[in-house]
Amino acid sequence: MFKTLKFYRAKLRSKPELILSIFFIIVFSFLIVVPFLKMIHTTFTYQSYDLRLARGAVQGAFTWFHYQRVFASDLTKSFFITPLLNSIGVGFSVTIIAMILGSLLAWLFVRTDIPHRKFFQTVIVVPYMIPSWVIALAWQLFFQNTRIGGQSGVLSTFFHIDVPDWLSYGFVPIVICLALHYYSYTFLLMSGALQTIDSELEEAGSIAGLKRREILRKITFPLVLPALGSSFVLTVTRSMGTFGTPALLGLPVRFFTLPTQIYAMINARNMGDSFVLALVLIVMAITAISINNKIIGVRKSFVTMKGKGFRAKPMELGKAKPVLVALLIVFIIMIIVLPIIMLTWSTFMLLPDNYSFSNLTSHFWVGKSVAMISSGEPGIFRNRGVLRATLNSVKLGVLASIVNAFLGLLIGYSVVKNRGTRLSKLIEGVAFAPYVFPGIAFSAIYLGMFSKSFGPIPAMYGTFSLILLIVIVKNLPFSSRSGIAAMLQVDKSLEETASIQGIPWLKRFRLIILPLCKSGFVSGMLLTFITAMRELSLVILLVAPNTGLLTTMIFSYKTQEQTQHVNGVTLILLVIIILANIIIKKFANTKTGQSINLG
Amino acid sequence: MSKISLDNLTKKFGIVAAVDGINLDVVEGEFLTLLGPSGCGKTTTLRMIAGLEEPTSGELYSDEKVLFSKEKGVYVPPEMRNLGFMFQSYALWPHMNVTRNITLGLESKKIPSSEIKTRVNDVLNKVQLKGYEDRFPSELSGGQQQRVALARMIAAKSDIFLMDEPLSNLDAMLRIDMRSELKHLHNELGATTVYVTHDQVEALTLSDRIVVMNNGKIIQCDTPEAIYMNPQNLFVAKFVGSPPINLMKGRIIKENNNLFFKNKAIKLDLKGVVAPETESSDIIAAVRAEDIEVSPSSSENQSEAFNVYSVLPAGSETIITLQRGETELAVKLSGFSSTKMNDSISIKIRPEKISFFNPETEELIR
Repeated sequence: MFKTLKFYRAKLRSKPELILSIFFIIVFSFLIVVPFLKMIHTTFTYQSYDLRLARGAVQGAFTWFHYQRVFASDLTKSFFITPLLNSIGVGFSVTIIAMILGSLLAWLFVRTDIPHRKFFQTVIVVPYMIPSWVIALAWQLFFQNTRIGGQSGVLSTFFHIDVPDWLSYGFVPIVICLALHYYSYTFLLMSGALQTIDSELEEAGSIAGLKRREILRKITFPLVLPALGSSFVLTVTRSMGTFGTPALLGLPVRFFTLPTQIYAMINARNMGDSFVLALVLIVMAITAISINNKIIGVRKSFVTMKGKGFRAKPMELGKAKPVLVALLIVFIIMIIVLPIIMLTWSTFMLLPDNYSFSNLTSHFWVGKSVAMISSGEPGIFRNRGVLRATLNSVKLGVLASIVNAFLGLLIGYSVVKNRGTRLSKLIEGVAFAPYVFPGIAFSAIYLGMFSKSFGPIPAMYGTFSLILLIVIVKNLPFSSRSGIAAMLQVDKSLEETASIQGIPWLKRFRLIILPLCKSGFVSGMLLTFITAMRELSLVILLVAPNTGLLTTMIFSYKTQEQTQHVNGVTLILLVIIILANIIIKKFANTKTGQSINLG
Repeated sequence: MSKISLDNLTKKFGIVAAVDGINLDVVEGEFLTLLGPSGCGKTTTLRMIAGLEEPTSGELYSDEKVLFSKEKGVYVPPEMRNLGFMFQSYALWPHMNVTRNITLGLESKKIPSSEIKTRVNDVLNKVQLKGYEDRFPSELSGGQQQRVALARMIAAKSDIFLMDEPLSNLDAMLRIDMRSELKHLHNELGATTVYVTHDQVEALTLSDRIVVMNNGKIIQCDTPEAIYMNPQNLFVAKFVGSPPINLMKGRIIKENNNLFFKNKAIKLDLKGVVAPETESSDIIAAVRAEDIEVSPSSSENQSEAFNVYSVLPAGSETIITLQRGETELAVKLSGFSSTKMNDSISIKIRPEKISFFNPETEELIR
């Protein structure tokens, strides 16, 4: 007995991946599994909100009450069916448009002789960096009508067009705005996949006598299928679970999707019902992911397959070239240039729907507080709240990106080193779980869990730490994915040879693994920074007045109809994200000169 | 005295035993090769010796010290085993230059920097890479990368070297060069070496002893000569030697008090050797390509002549494939041969050059 113990102690000490795995299991069960179980538990017990609705209810007692209310009552239609159908409708419409758009663009840039490829490619992924609801803000500036309330948009003021309701709010604008954001995901995944396909595979097809269309259908398409599958799952789950855009463009006309319905319920303190809906979203996301894994699962290797990544002869566009370039430019102007110009312009307008030059003012940027304008809110550059929110957001982004990048790498290490074991699969799976949690419900749970002191953890209600914690946990799926990918790139013999030479683990990690994973590390950091900066639904319940973030500030200005401040703060957010992108890209490029691949 | 001892060492992946209870003593200073087809467990065995793979059961000793034993509660991690390991991929750290690749491990051993300097100098001289100190692995050719890996291993001055197919990524010419260098180096340093390869020529040329493995078990452990001349079973016979050993199915028969090996194509006189007592049952006769003598067939032995199926001259030797019925024989002749395709050839095999195997057990009969 003693000897077995001694053996396992020696083994544990020599296998840091085991220690790490145990650490992750403990931390993850606390931060991911327990909240999830709490969510389920809440749906099965009476909450304080229910006491006045259900006769004889005892708080905390077991009940089917919530399930009954959501799935089989008079309220089912408005609570569940309508939001569900809206979510599905939005999700699938967005996915179809975004995937077609993204794939076509990817094809255009990877496989044809389109000019100024580099420039276009950089610009076309800008929507990926900026929050999806920025386009929604710009949309409102254009298509708003006065019937629903608020100011009138450009179209009705300038051109005296009576914008119909369906074009200014609800399903159509939500789908368009989301599609113009999510196409960038398909674009990135598809360009990656198209680049790795060895052109010889297609050339072999044409030598074998296949026509161009047949090559596309029988060779290229099956090879990019895994990338298409990933794009599909990513777009469908994210567009169904997104909050910002449906909130901006849906709530004014009471167009609810599941996330906005959950938000409305949580705001009304109706936790039980809202978590039932959250579980519905979770089940839908898991279904989409597992269907994808079933269909594509075995072919996943295609994506990682090595190709020369090089195509001798791109397809010649010929006469279509100038037309396509013109279309591209129009597209970019419409989805990036015009929205940003509109946002900027609106911040200089004293009256939000007066587009004359005499109406221009710098008040909303540099003006002192005037009680008549914007409820006395001082200009953005003089506004302490904005300054604090900016600092908070940047602090959140920087801290989360550093912590997440390290965690991702360590998760990657323990997953890859234990590859093939159940432990490895478990860690990978649990680290991915937060992906399917709807942000608002997740934060509601955290709010409940951490508002009182919990074991060794002090009460974190209203603190910045709680926001940081939840952002880190919610980003684990992405950072662990990129950590695993980075670790898989490092041949295991590189660390093994170091351990044989007697180099201790910390030194191995610092001198060998970390430098070799640097590019994955940096890109993981950038990804977390961007998502942390644009996080809205996840943090909206958790911010206190002194922990406000740029996004929550934008949202609260929006509810107060202070258009100029909304757009001004949004611009600040955009500038920070784009600056961070440039800085990190520069930093990463100068240092990743040497190839990570072996041999 | 044995330097490394494997006692009933087993490694299971799930229910599959990759290494199935092997016992092996590696003698101090010898060059021992683990030879076998891919998946036979040779690399797993080597990685268990290094500590990179944890055995499922069994014990492992070095210098009579326990390195691994579940019963005794001992697990010495690779960091503490003090051995050298050379990977098939060389495992050079791509972000460090040649010097740093060599010194990193030495620093961890708390060796003074002046000593490190002289060692780097020495080993780079030894592997003829003087002047390449500041190069990065990507700036070196495959052969040079290999030398760096070798230098790194030598510099640690451990007395056990483990090598996992170190030559298999090199092109044919370099491989032959490196073989002779490895052998010279082993002679010079005298480190106990365990070498893994699937290349039987490499095993024969380098080793003091060869361990032939298959399906996680040791099939035969012997000197190269014994492995080549007296394979203990069909597997070893077939695996070692190029061209592969000739195998003929047939029977032993007695005619006029003389024993013969006979099948449809061939009848061999076994005069002068003690033939196995397995008359009238199937048997497999094995003979090396260089042990067959050929001559143009004359009219009298036309009935036993073979047809020449192919002639493959390779400069120093020519391999001729002969065919008669279902029997095919490879013959190795030195230099170029005047034999033409489709010639008619008669053969002669000296009885003592023939080995017999039991077709069922595949074991050597004689």
